[in-house]
Amino acid sequence: MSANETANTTATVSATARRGAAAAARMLGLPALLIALWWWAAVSSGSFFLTDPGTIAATFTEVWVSERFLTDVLPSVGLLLTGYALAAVLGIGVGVPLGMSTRLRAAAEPVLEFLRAVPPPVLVPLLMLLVGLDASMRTAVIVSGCVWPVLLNTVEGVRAVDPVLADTCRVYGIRGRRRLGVLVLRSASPQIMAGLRQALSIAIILMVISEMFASSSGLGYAVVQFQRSFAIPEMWSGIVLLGLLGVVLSAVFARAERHALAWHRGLRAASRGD
Amino acid sequence: MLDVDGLRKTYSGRGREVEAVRDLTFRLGEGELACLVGPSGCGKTTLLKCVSGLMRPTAGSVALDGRPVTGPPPDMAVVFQEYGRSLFPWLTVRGNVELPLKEKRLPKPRRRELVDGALEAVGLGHAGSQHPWELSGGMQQRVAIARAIAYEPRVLLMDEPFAAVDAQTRADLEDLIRGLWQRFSMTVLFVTHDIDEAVYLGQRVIVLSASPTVVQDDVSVDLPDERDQLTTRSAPRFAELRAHVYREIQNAKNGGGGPSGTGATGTGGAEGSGADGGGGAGDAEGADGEGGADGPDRAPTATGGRR
Amino acid sequence: MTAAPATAAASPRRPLPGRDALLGTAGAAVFLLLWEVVPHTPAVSADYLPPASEVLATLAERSATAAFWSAVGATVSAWALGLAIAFAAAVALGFAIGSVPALRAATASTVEFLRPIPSVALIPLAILMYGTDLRSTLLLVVYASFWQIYIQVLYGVADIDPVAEQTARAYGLGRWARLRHLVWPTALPYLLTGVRLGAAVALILTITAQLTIGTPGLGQEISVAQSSGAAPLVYALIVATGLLGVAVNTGVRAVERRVLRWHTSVRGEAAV
Repeated sequence: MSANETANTTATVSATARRGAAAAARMLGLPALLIALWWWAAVSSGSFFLTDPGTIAATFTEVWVSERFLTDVLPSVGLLLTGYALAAVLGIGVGVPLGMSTRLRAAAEPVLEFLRAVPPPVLVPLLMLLVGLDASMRTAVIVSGCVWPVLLNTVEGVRAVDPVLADTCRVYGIRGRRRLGVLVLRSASPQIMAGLRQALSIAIILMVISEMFASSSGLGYAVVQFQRSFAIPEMWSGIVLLGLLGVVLSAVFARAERHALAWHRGLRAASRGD
Repeated sequence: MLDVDGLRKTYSGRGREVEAVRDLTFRLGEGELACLVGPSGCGKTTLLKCVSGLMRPTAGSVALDGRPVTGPPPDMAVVFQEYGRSLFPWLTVRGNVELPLKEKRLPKPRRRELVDGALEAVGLGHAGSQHPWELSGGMQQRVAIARAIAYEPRVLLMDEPFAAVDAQTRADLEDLIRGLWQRFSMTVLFVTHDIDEAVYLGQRVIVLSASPTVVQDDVSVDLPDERDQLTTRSAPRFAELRAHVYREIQNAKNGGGGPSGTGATGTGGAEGSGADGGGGAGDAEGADGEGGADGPDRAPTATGGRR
Repeated sequence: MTAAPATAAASPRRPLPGRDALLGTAGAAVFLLLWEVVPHTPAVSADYLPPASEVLATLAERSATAAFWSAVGATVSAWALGLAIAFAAAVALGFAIGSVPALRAATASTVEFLRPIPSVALIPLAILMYGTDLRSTLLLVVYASFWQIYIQVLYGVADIDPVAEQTARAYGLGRWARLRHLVWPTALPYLLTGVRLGAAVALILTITAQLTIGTPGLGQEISVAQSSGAAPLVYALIVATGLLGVAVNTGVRAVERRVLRWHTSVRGEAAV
């Protein structure tokens, strides 16, 4: 390698490093600024409700990196994921036949429009009144709230299957389960993913409030207990944990979506001509 | 081997009946390459859907080897005009070609052999792992063609397959189709609105009338089997055939003018056109003017493009 | 929601127009009939699922009281106010930040982090800060619906056709003219999608706040009915929230259709 090349490589490396640093500054700049502001506000105002980020961080490890993680956090998350998965299966399972049959769809539409419009959190007091909210009922709350966006989006997606692709399947004798897998579900997948995304945030809402309302354990319960007993830093740490849960679940979802819909992004980009 | 007999299709909607195809009868022999050409909106696509079993005719019948077609027959493949919409965007090129073979339950080695052969035959041996939307329009249509020939059909239907690709690509694809037809000895029914294309490709050109559709003329193309974009298209015989078909289509569009060659299947119709070629030119020009007045979308259809 | 307003797909064979309405009515009738009959069978106790007639009678009875309508009024006004605040903030910030690439890049990570935070996490904070005041509800509603609208505005501003942008510059359109004639019409369909999603989320959070915090409204009524064990009333109030939800959905869709009459995605939908 000549000196010249070495110099070039060094230059590229340092340019890459500079670009990396700029990207890091862009990414972390504003969050750092906001945290600093928060810190300053907490310290200078001396407000009882406003805890500074340092204390929250310390409390966070103290409160959640303990057996509480096993007793309160994991069961909640398990419940959330179970309910969400059941809702997804149910929503897609019912949505596909509804999407494929015009008659069924026409018959079910008004009822579905109504059921979808019911704000899911009202199910919490209802089920509480009827059977009390044990873990399985909390799962039922999550399922019954999450199923609608999945169901309705699946119906829309299945309905919009491209007629040329459908003809192609008929010509080549593709039917039954292979048709379902290769044509119906795949072409509806962008819509189904949109429905699953909406369902995810509803699932979190339902998990938290069903625990706040009626439970003696779980993440939502713990946070409300801290608030009631005016354990402010602990409450803040709970809020942070709920926030992190939302962020992590949404990141995992975004990853799965990117993977499942890679073809869709490519197709869109190609049809826009870039 | 493919018999279309008295085919009729009417659509009913909103209390109104629309007759798309009135009465179509024609017959394709084993291994024949026939082109269907007609004015825009004459029900070519409807006809093709009935022939492929995707649509039930209102009356009349379609039979393949004497067996009536009631659904898509297993030894028939179709290439659609909308290549972008007939390929599965979530499958790779290979996946698209292989899919029907999986449904046929062919063993894996045989599938690989067929897919490789088909992709090679359309000149896409290298593109198997790409997705359709990563390819140009012409290449996407090649994938659709590869899928059709890998299926090993006895009959290949093509619905204006090159209507949406540019002229250069189109010429290449036309030669590809002729090559594949000779190599795989299939029966091909090729629907187009482009007269030049029909004459260049076909052994036979079936001219349809305007909607409600009947067979206006059936022209045998007596050009040599080895065709070439340059020499074939500049041959006098090509020009004669082209003018003949063109005149028929103008007649068809104007509704009147009675089908000049009805029933005169075979060379008779074509020779007749050669005989009155001189008078025909003026005829055609007059008709061209009318076509233009009719609507701008029809003019390019009739003139057929590339010259 | 990742995508912008989806273009309506060409619908195959449209059956006779009256048939759908008929089937829909039949479907609703079957639903009500089942609801009426099932509680009389041993499968489900009427204590758990009061028959439809009883629930609807309770709703009718309830809707004759002033308390019911003041609860509805409180719910609707909290929803509308929260949505309006979120809308104003999201539009102002969305257009300002979206049209300056540097700002957009600098805020991207923060937005990506803050957006998925569930607004119910703020419930304890809201209780501490505002108690059962309207502001508690607003905090949750605004936080939840703001992101829905803001993100759509960002998508919309990013969707501007570069050719149109260059054309506008070539003809010497100034910043305001470009905003008025290029950015705004491009982003409008996205904005309305955001409003549609935001409106639904805002209603969910309004009810949630009333349920959990106890701010006045239909949610609080439900929670009171639940603690007194009045199952038919709980059902009746749930039906009321459902009807409210239907009203919100159809209202927003009507607005969307009206504002976007020129836009193809809606034109296609309307033609179907």
